[in-house]
Amino acid sequence: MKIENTQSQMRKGVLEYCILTLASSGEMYASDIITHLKDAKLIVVEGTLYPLLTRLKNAGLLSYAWKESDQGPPRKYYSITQEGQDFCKELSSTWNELTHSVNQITETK
Amino acid sequence: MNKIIQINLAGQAVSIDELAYKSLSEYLHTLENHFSNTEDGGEILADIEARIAELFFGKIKKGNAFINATDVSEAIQLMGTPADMGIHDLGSEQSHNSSTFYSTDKKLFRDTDDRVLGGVCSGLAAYFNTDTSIVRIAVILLIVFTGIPLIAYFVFWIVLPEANTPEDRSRMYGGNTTVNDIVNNVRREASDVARSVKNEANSVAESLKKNSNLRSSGRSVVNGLEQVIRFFAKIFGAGTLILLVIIGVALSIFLLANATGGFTLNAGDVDVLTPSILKTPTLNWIFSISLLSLILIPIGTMCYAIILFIFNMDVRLNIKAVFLAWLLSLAIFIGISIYSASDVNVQRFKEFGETIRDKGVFDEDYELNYNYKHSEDKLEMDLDIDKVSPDNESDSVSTHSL
Repeated sequence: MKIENTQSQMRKGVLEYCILTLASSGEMYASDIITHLKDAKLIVVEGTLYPLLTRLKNAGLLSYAWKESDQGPPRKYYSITQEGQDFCKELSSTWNELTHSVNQITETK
Repeated sequence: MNKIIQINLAGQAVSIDELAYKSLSEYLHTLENHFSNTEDGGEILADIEARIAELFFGKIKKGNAFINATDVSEAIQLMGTPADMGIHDLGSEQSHNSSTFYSTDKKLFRDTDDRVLGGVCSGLAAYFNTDTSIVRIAVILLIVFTGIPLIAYFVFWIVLPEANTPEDRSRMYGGNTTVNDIVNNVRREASDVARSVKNEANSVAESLKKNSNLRSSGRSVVNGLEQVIRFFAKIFGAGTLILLVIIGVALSIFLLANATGGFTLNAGDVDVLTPSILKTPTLNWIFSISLLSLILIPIGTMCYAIILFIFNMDVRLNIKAVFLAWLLSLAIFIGISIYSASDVNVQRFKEFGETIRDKGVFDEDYELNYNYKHSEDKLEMDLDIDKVSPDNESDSVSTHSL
């Protein structure tokens, strides 16, 4: 059992929540999302992000629009849907509960 | 000097160095295989390609004429190596049919780049992280000395796959591969291929000049046959070598013992004696050593030549020196023999031996005891022949003193 695998699993678990939260603040390009995550010290590679974005889009939680770019091919800009907002709210309470529980378990032995 | 290729990456025309292209396309193919099992695989791949195209676009805009291997490496690091993406990612419904390309498992291959016959031994060596020569020696000894037949080797040859692609090669040696390994591998293979193509072209040109098609294909058959024969010759040589060594060692012990005063070998019920009977101990030594050289020099040179042959080294010997040394021993041996033939002691010992024989000692159960010593110039020998009867009593048959 490699610790990197477990760690990566942990990160991936909360990633959806983070992405939805970020998207709710406006239109985002994949690269922007990565940057924001990096600023918050959550390191993810784009190869992990794209599958996730696509899945969220297919689930109707995100939508995207093509925008021309002078930096190469056209880009997908993602924004959150109404469904996504609701989903995000629920995830938010789940997250709070989770952190609460985990903190409690790990702080009191 | 490398080629530059134009590719279409997400609708962008990109100039890319040939080797960089190879590593990029390997990477994309890996991803393709990985994502082909998912629903949105196509879309995800398109996103990744587009992102890479964007990165490259940036490089070109900065003034580079084309994309090189470093750029590709950077892009891959940024996008994530397949290891980063992992197979068990996002709890998705990935089917585990997609092969784990960059696994840390070692797999047993045949290494056809380093082979005598089929690359079995070098493949084994890579798997066990040992030296190829050691494996080869071990295999040969196993075949010669144990019952494991040669057919086992051919079974391995048939069953094990060749290590063809760079991934195969790195799985053969084990360990995580990174893109850099692959790039280096590809580079090395590219130059190998270039070199061998050049050689091939040369030899084809030459053979076209001289021979017809038939002869050259016949020649390659002969070459193949020669390889096989050489291999078997080596195995045979190894066996002979071991035999020679055993003989050499046994003889040396025998003769050295002789030089130092003799010892008894028990052969059934008869003790065989090797007394040193020459006039002086020094003479004995010289005699024994010359006899030793006489036998060991030819054996030694044969062993040496076989070893050189087995290890594919130039079989070169200083024949002159070796032969002269041998002649010298021969001369000494003959000289001492002639001198000693007239030695009184030797003649007496000869009679002694005849006495034993005439007594018919070898026909029945006799116990033979003797001792001898040099006293001054004379060799004194005492012989006791005792007949051993069935109820283990011994009757003394005769006692001789010389």
